[in-house]
Amino acid sequence: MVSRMSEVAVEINGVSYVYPDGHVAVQNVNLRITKGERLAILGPNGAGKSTLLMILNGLYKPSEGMVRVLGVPVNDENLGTVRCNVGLVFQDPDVQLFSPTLWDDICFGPLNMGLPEEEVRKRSVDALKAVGLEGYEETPPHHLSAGEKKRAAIATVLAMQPKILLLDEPTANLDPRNRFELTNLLHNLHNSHHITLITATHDVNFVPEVAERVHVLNNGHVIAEGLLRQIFSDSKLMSEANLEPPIVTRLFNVLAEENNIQIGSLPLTIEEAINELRRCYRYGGNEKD
Amino acid sequence: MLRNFLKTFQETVYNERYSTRGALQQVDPRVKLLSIAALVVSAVAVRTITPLLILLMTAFAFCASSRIPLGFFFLRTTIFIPIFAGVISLPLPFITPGVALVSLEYGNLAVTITSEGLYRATQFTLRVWACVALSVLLILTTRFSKFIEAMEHLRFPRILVTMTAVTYRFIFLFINEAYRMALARESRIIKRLRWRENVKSLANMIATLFIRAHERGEKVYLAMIARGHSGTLRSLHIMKCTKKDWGFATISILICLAMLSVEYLRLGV
Repeated sequence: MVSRMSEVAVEINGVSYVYPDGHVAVQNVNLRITKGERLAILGPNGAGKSTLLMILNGLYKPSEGMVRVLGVPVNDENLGTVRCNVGLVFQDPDVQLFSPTLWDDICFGPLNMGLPEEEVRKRSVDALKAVGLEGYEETPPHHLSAGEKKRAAIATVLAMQPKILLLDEPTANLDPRNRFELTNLLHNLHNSHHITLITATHDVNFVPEVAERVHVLNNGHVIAEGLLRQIFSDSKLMSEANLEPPIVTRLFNVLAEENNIQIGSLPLTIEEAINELRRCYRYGGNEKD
Repeated sequence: MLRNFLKTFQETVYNERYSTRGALQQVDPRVKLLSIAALVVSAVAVRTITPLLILLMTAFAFCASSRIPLGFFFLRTTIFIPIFAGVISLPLPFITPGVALVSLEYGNLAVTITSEGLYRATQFTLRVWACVALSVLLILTTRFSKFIEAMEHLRFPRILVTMTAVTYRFIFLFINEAYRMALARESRIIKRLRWRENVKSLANMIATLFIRAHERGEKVYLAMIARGHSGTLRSLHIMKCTKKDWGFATISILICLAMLSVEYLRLGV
């Protein structure tokens, strides 16, 4: 019997997308994401990450290949169902917040779903609460700070109660405090709503906070996929994709290479680095656990 | 100068400082919109100075009851007068035939100011002032989001409501964008530019803004589609009229009727 966790959330088979000007944005991409998984699409600027997210939401029709979301093919007949299930948070919140007040923006999606008014209200209130923006209902979007705008943009999508959340460069223009809050918010959403999270980013330090698995995209091609540690420890791959491992990982790489310190498991986050340092301190840096 | 203009424009458009506390601020936006529209129509319909003066005073009285400083309101309303009304009304005293008040002669040239011309100039200026004052009052005492809701409830064409809402939302971004471009331009100017160079760089800036506006428009549309937009905009706003709203509507209608009576019964000057 197939367990619930292993059900496929997104399936992309041989997808290519060519812009009208002939520019090939993505080519022969294959991807499979299970329900409740947290995946990062990592790549430099112009790699085709945003285009891939647009294809998943049905905004762009692939030139070749097939996309299925929760078992439903993404095509003209199923667009409504797909968009109810797949929430896309754009990189620039000012693109997503287009109404005179935040309340109008939050209600926009649920109203388009044709839900009864009471349900729209309930979902909108819940979405605002989930992102910590209660009391901001009547605020015009241009009066919000960058961090608030980002959370508001997420709330506009959460109100539709999607099963899959797509985030395009979520940390763009965020200060450390707002970045921390965003990470917590995404953790909570994943834990409480069991949402499948797909984050497109080039922010390597953010990836370990929001993903367990990575697909590396470069020039429209998936050049690698795997678990975080496996991907970030491959320095050749990182260099090929014009990326670097997270700063903590780089530090430990240097310690291991130049100071001959035995690293048990390459840390990706501060917490993992602290544990590794404690272990090294305990064993004098010469033994593995 | 360009930066100052953009800053002033932004403050003028987005000033919602007085939009929450005060008598007029509590009136239902639909009632307020219709009542003030009726007062503006009566200001346009009357031709004598007395009712125009009364309508102008009404605007100032509403302003006082809405906790808006009168000095601020006076400046806000008169700033448009020289620009719009002045250009049209300035020649009127000289070109309107009638009884000569003052005649100035210089060689073969003779310029005459007529009483009819002076009256028409005053009447036109007062009419513009009254209309501008009433409109400014509506804007100052109504949050823009409420104004949009009122338009929705009054069944304004959907496309008009959407365009107004989106324009208001995004003009802010474009003013900011233009402001940043002006700053970036200024930071690279070493010596004073000639008029022609200034115009050229301004034209380039405007063209760039147009392209950016177009690109943003495309992205916003995609963001709308991503959340299920299919061409129809729906909203959840509920509005109810109270006794206070009916009271304001009654007062406004009575003022309109009184002004029209003064005009058509020839009670004023």
